[in-house]
Amino acid sequence: MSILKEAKNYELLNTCNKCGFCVQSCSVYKEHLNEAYGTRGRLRLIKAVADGELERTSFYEKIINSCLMCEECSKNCPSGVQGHLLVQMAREDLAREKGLPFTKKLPLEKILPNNKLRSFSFKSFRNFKNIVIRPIPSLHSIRGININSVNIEKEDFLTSYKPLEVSKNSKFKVGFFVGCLMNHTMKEVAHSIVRVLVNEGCEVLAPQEQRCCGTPAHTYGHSKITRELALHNMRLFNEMKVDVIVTGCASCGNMLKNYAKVFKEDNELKDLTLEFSAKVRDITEFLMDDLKISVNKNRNNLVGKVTYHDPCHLVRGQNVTLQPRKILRDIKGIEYIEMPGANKCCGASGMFQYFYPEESMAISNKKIENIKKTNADYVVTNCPACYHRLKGNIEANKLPQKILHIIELLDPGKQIV
Amino acid sequence: MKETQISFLRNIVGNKNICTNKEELLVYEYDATLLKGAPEVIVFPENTEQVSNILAFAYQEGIPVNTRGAGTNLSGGSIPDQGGIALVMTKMNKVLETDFKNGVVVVEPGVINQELQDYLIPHGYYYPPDPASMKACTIGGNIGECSGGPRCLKYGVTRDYVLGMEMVLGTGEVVVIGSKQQMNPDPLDLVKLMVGSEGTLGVFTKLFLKIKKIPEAKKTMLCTFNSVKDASKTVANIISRGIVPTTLEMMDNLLINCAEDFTGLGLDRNADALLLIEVDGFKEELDGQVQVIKEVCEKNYVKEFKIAQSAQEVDQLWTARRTVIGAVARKRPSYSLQDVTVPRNKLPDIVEAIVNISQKYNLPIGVLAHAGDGNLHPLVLFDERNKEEVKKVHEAEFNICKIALSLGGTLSGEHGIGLLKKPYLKQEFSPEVLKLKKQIMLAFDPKNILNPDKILEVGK
Repeated sequence: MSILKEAKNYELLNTCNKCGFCVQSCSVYKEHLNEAYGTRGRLRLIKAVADGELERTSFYEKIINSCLMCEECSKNCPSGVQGHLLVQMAREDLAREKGLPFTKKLPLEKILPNNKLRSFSFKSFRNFKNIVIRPIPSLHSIRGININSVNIEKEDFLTSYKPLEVSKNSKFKVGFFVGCLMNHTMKEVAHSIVRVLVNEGCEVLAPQEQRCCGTPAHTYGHSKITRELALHNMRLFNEMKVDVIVTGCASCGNMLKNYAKVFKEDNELKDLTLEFSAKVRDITEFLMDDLKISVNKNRNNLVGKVTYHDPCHLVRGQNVTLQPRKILRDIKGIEYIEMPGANKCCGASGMFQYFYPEESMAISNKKIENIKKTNADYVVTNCPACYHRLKGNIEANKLPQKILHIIELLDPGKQIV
Repeated sequence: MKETQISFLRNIVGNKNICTNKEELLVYEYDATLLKGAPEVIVFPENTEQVSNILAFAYQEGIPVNTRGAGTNLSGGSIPDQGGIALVMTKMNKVLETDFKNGVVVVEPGVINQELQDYLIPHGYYYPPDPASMKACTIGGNIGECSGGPRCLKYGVTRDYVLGMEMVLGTGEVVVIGSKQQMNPDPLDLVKLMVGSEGTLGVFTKLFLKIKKIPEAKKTMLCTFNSVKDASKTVANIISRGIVPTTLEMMDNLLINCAEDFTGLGLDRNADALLLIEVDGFKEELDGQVQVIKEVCEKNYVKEFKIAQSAQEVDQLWTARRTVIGAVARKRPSYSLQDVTVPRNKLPDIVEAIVNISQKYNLPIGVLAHAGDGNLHPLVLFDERNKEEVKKVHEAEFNICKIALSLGGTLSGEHGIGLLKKPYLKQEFSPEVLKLKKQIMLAFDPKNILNPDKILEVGK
């Protein structure tokens, strides 16, 4: 039986009363202006499949996969229908009933969960990029993704990481969940996170055996892999007996905090997941809410205007919006400018940008227009995926702005200017 | 429809603007009611010429045309229950001209109400009609239904803000009626006739709208009561004291709780009724008005009288009000919404009658009211999969409508007749008036292809 027909799930599909508030909040709908690409339409189609009124056609699949998982519809629904979770459920149903296509199956099942294979892939890509792509400008952008702008580390962060010395009575024992993208492409940012935490008197453990958080597999409905990864990561961090688990990646944080959803029908694991998830913090959350650090000192002599882009998985996924803004408003010497539409998706959304290049480009262009309106010198964000998407688009549009991960502003060891 | 007809339409709008996939037909079969009916083809025109060509062809072939905006309407008016063409105006969504000096804006019908407001506000202007669904609905749809909204107590409904329009008739001819002038001394006012015509007389392609300067100041008050009767009396008393608030909105206990579930604002879950009152104008005149309103509230045993202290608080209160219809799905999966209007002083009577009906049929009914206008939205909550219950809902609604008419009221304040309220029409209008309306519809649309048989059964 399809999971859509399971009583609990089927009931969820019947909670929408079609008021239509979700439709205009959907960035993908705004590009198509066709009901099928808005949440209300997607839910109608999922219900049609559940009722046997519609086959799982390739067009259905296209529509279900065209969701950014930005959670705007869920936040805007007066009845509290969680549109993004219902789409996720439909993707899980598709993965089970039809199987995933090779283009998704290979990365989700084989490469991302396997640390060695993933490292090998990133390294091979680095070589390919340096030798083939870089000299040929026409290859710099593939399907609107500015791959030339993506830095890939020669050696990833976790392989080279050695814990820094801390005073004996550390305030917190912190487990650092680095996340694949930061590990392979933003090693310096990861080091900044460690330095800032250690400066604040924390002991930082970053176990090399940590694996992908499971976001990509979960997003495309591969529940088996998601569970394997979740179990592995939970056991690993639980055994280390850390006080908190900190991450600088919005999507990883969102996934780690929601592991309970992956095991919703398993009561035994539920306790383990709840215990684990309760420890997870976004880096800004941990610094501002737990450590209550003072940030008014300008630690790297930055001058000029800064603006902030809210990652979907932070602003809606985790309700973290005030902490990063407080940091940026408090630092002396810089001027914080709120960007119009700061919390709208940047258009990256994981593999979405590859499979839906036109929509993705259009959504990114709106973000670029909003960045221009701020006249800021720096665009700050808090998620490696957004960081790369914004960086790629800023460079492709030859804008003067420089993109920063928020932790870079708090690390005196980081040379920004 | 025949394949040749579809390919003719394809030539008019181009491949990217036409759909016949089953998946897409399924998502154009509904609106915000429970009714259904799928089109045979969906077209997205991009300009007046395309609309004209589509309608000329539909006229020639006798194909039904159902014009649609965002599909948020509450009367079944945008459901293509006779098949044919769903003419979706969402791609004609530009603000074409603005003339702030003369307070006029020209827009295409697919512009979202909220987006027009967002465009105007930085210039110090706004478009007064503010249906609760303003974040989601189109201006074209607002005009088709003659939408009201909380602000219409003071500022009037959509009809008061449409100066003129370019539109396409059921034959494909393009006409301009009214003008961009603030006064249109037209003895047979066609513009007024078009507003609220629910897509049966023509298809709008450009709309000339009146806009207003944003008032200097406003005060928003939240008052709770131990009985709906006290709240209703407060409403009547405020107006008889000569104050015209911008809004006088009422919610009953059930809706207060739904709104609180979504917004978590700390609304009083035990209150039997809540009034959201707003006054606007010049700063100096507001304090006096607030004082009078407070006195009236106290005379009617107000439980708590609160003035919103910040712009953020005002926004939150309005979010609670604007989303409450959607929020009722938290209680039961389906709702059915009426739109009856009674003379203001009859408000307590109809509310009492609704409470009795709710008990008689054992159905939860929430009462939301633009109380200042006597316009009520009783929300009957149920589960559409329970056929027994659906039958009871229909009976309960029929009774609500009958009582509204017996109190000297009308069936529809602002949501239109569409399909949903067609069965009750004979209760409100005499056969002579209905015949007259039918003749008007045929004069505009001789073949009855424009949203056929909505409002009235016209027949071929």
